[in-house]
Amino acid sequence: MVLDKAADGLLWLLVKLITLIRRDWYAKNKARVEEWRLTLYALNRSPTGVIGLFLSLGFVFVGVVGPLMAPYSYNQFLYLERPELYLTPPGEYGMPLGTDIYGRDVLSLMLYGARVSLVISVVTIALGVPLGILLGLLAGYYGGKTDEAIMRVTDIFLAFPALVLALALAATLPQRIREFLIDQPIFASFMAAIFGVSAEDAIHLAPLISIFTALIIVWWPSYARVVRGMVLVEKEKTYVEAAKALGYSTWRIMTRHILPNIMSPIIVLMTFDFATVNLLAAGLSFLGLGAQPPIVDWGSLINMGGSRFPTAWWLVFFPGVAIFLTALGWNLLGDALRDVFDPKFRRRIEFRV
Amino acid sequence: MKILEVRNLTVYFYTYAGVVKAVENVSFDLYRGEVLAIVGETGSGKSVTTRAITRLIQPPGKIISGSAIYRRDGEEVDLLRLPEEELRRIRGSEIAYVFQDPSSALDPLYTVGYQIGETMAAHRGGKIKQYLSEAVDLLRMVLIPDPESRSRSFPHQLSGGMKQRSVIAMAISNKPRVLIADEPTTAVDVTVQAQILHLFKQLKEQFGMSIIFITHNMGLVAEFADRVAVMYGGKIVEEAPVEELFQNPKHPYTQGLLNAVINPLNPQERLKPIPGTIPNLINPPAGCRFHPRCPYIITGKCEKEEPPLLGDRHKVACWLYP
Amino acid sequence: MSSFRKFLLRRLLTFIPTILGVVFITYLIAYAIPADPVRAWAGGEKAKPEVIERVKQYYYFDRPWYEQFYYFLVRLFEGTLISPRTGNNVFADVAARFSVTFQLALFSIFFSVVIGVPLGLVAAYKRDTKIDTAVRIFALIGVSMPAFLLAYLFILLFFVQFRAITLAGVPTSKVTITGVPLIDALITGDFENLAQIVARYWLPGFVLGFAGAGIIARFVRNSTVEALGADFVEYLHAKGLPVGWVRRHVFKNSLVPIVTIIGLEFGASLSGAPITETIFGLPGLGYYAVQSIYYLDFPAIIATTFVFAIIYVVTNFVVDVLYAFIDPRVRY
Repeated sequence: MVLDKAADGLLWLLVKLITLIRRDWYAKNKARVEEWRLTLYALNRSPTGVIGLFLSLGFVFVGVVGPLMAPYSYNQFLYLERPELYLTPPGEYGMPLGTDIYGRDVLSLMLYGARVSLVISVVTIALGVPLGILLGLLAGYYGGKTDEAIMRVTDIFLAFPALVLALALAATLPQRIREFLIDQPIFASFMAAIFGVSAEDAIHLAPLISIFTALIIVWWPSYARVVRGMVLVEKEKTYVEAAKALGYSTWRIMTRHILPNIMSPIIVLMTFDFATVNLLAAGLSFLGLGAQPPIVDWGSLINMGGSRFPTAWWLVFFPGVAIFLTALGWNLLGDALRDVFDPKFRRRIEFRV
Repeated sequence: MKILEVRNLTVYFYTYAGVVKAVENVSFDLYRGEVLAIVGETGSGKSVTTRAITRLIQPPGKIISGSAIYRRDGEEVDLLRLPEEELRRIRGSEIAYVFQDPSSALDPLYTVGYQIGETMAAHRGGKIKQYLSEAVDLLRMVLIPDPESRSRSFPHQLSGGMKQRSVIAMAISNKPRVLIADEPTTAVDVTVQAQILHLFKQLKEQFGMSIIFITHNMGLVAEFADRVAVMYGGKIVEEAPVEELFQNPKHPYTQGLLNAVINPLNPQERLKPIPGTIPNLINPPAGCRFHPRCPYIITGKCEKEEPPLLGDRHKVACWLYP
Repeated sequence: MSSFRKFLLRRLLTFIPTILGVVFITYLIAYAIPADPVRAWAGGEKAKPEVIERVKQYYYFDRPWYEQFYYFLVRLFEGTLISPRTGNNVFADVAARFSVTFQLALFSIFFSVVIGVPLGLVAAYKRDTKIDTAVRIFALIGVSMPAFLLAYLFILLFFVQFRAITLAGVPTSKVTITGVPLIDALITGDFENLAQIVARYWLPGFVLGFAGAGIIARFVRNSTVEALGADFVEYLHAKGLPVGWVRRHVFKNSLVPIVTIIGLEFGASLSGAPITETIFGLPGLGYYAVQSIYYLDFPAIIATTFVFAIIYVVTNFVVDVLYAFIDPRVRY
């Protein structure tokens, strides 16, 4: 099947890349590569999973190249030159998705917005998850007072509904971050580049930066709790005892032995979380706490459209559908991955392959 | 007097890996008041056979053919053809089961007393509450100390031995005529094993039950059984009264079994394991299913033709005894 | 004391550190993060100098931090925090809005359960068929659907096209018994008011409950399938129990995760409704929280965060208690 060939090709590419760095990696890890191959084949067998994969990859792709492909820049307020472009519906004047109140082309804005969504979700997951995993490992492995302390703190953070905590932080942080951005122009330009905006607008990124900071703070507790639960179970297994008897350092046992064994559910959770983070970030923007003009993301477009509903329906519809499809993509993928990693399901697929 | 007559029972499992021919053409009888031991390794088909008798097989398993004629009060019924509702009434009241793992037989959310009472109420009618005191009596009968408070306990509060005894209490609550015990002592420690076995003997005397006893422990067989059926690869290969079997095992597999364990009736210097492994039941060996491991194989015959189960009191399925 | 009661007591005791922790974090957010807390508490950029002075005194801003925290706690628990925006005691504001959010949550959980549970059961008993897959996809769609998209679509339909609903104001109780109009109307048998309440709340409730329906359907399906495959089910058949009795066992065993998720969903909808409330113009807690954060009304932010945390802790407590009630193994 075509997909299987694609999977093979991907793996081959990956192996080639890794062997460039470490010559003998492939020889030592043949079994692991085989395992990956079977995982990909299993994923190929799930139609919803494949759809999810394509949607998610599509989202990532658009997020990366979006701002580069956009016909108009986000700060081209076309309305100033051509007044007829104020809130035009889709299709008129060559604007396929319409324009907003500043006359900006909605299609371009959507592409910029994709980048913003991508950055926020990636940064949140990339920073929040490892923090949560680390704390979960420590709590689960050491147990006792460490466990109690970490879990108490986790509980306290979990007591805050994610939206409210994110709201509160998103409201109080921007000022501080703005000051920080002014003080550190290199950091500011770096942020601007990542978000696809020009450096002068970097200050306006403060609310967005506070959103993902807030989201990181909101995110790590659930991973800490989940990982702790899994570590508690793994700790009792004999391979851990064997590793201890061999005198391996605690750090080594935690990272090289326990962690790989609990990675599968974590990967599934992360995939679902990409969807959740996106929805949450869009919600925050919708409430007016995210992207401030001139910066746009999908949520703020909906905000703009919501207050003018239903006249400017396209400002609600297109970003809304975009958010929906992105979230759906990650959720479908996560659901399929969960099945793929489930040993009972895997056996069924493997026999067919 | 025969109480159960199983003929040509065949059970297959339709799995993703292929069709597992778990039980093939199995026939045996059970007489009133006797203990029939079914012996064999894991995968020999003993559990499946006993569950199939009352159609307790779930998909992907399917009973392909056969009959299980049960005699009660002068009439004969084929359990495999009985309507579901009538079969349900026989299960748990006239034919009762005890499984290997007592934890898997008890619902963790209900007290033990409730579950025993439930078995009685299901067959005798009325509310479960009425039977709670009788449940306590049953627990006393199976030698559980302090039965009143134990009957109000939940399964996770009991030890393995007590759980198993509770399951036995459940099984005998309706005074069954046939008790099918599938490795009932494997999951408990040796001391408890002895107690449970003793209990079985007592109950057998008291109620005149017939017992089908599955085990892979030859010591228990010697201790407890009247007759023995040896299963291998989904078929019965030998069937004999217990002393006969131990003194004069005919089938090479039975001999191998007895050589592999300590046997006071036949002391040896070295234990000899049987070489090879149990057959893959998706593609069982042609001819006699034991032939790949048999030390006395008759080349030309054993790989091609299946030996039938022949004999009178002492039956054996082997070309060495045509 | 029965094991159950001991369990309750233990759970209650773990409440306290959690709440204290929440209060502390709220304090941090309100005091330590803003660049100029005094100004922020006095109403932000537009604060008048006299107000700033008053705030400084009222909240003891010129004292060392530990005294500040102490007085902050006093104010919080006395309930005398004043909102610079509305001029009211924040807790009074919160109480007024709580009933709106509560009713919304009731409607939301109603839809989630009524849609989710049957779908989940059907999917479980017909597992691995097309119906099962359809339910799964439905659940995933429910979870991926942003509330604002769904809400606006429905508003387009019901408000713009048909003028069937309103987007402003809420019905109140004619006779105040519990302070919650829905319950009051049910108790007094005031069907006219009841109809109004339903008309106002059903659509936002549906939108909010849609995602929850998907989650509940999936949970119900998975826990029922697991219960069906439990070891003891085979023995129940071996005991010769009628099918209905077997189903009873299966159901009770599947109940624990279901009850947990319904409880958590209810708690979540109590705290997670800001977007729905904003779109539908419901003056509830979520909307109030958003407004206070937007206007940097710190006393209000503290109060609402505190209330949300209490809701979370209470919900978890109730769920744990129910859990222990159903499953005796948990009581240790």
